[in-house]
Amino acid sequence: MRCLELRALLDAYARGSLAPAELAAFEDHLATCAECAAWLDATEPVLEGVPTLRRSVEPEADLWPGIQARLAPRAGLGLRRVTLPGWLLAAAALLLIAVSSGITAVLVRAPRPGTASLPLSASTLSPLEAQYASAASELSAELGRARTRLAPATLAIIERNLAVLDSALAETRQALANDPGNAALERLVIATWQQKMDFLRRAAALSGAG
Amino acid sequence: MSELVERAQRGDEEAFNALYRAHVGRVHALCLRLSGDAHAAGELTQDVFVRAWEALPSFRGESAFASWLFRLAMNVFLGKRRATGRRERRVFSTEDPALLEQARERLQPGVRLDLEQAIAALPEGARAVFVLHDVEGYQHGEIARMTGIAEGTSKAQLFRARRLLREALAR
Amino acid sequence: MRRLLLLLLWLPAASLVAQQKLDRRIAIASDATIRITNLSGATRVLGWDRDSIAVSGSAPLKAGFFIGGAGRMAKLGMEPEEGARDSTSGYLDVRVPRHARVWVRSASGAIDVQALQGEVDVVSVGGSIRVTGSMRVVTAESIDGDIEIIGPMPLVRVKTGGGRILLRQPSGDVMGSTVTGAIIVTEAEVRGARLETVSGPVSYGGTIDGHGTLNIQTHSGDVELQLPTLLGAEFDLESTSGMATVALPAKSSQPRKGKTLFFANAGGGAQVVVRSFKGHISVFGQ
Repeated sequence: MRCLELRALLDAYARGSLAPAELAAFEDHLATCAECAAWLDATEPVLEGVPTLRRSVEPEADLWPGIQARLAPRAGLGLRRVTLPGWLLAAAALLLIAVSSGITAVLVRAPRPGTASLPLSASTLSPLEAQYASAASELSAELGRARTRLAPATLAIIERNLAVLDSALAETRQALANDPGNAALERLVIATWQQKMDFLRRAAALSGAG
Repeated sequence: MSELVERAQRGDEEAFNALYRAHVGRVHALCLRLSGDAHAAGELTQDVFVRAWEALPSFRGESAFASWLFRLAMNVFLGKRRATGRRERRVFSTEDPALLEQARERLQPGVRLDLEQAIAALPEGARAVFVLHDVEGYQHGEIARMTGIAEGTSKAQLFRARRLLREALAR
Repeated sequence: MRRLLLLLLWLPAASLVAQQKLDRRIAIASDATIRITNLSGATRVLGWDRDSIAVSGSAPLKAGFFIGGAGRMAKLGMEPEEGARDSTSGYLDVRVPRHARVWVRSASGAIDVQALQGEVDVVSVGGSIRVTGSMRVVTAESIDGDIEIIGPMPLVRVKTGGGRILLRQPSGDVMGSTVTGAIIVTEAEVRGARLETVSGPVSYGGTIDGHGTLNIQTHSGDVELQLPTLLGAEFDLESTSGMATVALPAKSSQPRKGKTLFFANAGGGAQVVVRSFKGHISVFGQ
């Protein structure tokens, strides 16, 4: 669509009477044409009353009782101490160091100065994540106990796969921390936890069965 | 990071209550304008604070708490929109002539509306973009990213919102 | 000098003696459950129309070869003696009744299963796995090995870590999972498929049943779908940091592009859901 065509279709657009193909072309053109975007802005500029709109509106009823009833006890309190086998701890520490420098490249937003990656410690886990982390540490411990039964090469492979899983987990958790409540990211974090759990479970089972 | 936020992170409900009192007005105003409905806004505000309690552990003080909370409120609203429309996963259908028609009926000539009422009467997509851009100051690129619509759509919707509002108010 | 000659004579003889040829046979029910273990050697299992198991192959002497069973249960295999440092591994060639339930375990050996029609459950920690035919149910797991499943099977569950997964002509329900390995699906006609990976690329070519679902999840792996242009399906594609592009020639004939794409093609029917954190998603028509 060319600029002149777009301007001719303005009224039709405002009324909602453009055909789907025209509508798509209309919006696509706007995405890339700064002139038309500016022209639209000039045709319908900011409304006068907007700056006077109240930025804060107290709810009529007190919402706190309803909120308080739904607050789960903070996960950090009473979460059992998580102990990991030595080799896993070392691997995890290396990971966090490696990952934190790569994290900023992944963030959608501009990196904030001094951003450090979100460590997987009890204090930064949401209640649901805490459950996954607890189960993961149990499986990791089991795997640690079984390591004498595994060939060194297999062990190395398991550690390598776990490193990839942990790296992915760190990235999505950090992205969620920067975009709190983002449902898509929450789903991705949970999905990655589930993938990690599945792998740990399989590795633990295979080391036992071998 | 403020003392209050730190205490709330550690599970201090009283501290969280204080945060609630300090920020609920702002959050509620956003919810009200985005949903265009007082009842929905109340429920949404509650959801936001409950979710904030759960997500607090991941707040690292890199931004102001108010911005963090605001961002979370946006996401809770958008998440809810996606959830309620199982088939309608798209947050705002860019084009639903029926919705547009309903909006025009609400904005009937002869009925005096104030700006707030007029905003509430806008069709969803246009309303969301209008609130985010003109009221809250987000740029089109950010709006596109947050809501999942294209940037061109955002600009077009803003135009539509402003025009509909002007028509409604010029009576 | 003499000692040296004796030594030279002894060495080749030693390696000849170290292997034993296998040739064993037992009768078994046609729908028996058969467990096969071969930790470090390659195993091949073929279905046949006899109510018996026939094992051939070769095994190092230090490997304890065993076979036993009757009626509807049999076990066979090789387990190297505790502490045996023998690096030569044997191989097993096993014929089993076509409708038997077959269970195979290996640590590093490759496993190849063909021409069966019952249930197959195969695990090789480090070796590759290949299953061909029209088995009723296939479960295959590895940590690092590649897994190939070829043929129309109603239920396929495949998991590996670093290895890749190749599914050819899958029909029915499919579940595939890797950590870093690629997932490649070709000539597909699934009723339901769930493919997940962290960093492996995913490629799906074929079609989806009328009201079937294709569900793909990656963290950084790119996803490429080649689907019939007129496939009736609802697409729900989302990449947080990557980009989704759909080129299903339609009336608009413009490729759709965005981080989130949600639309129906040809009236909908099937469901295609793809989620990625930073992988790119591409859909092509064919």
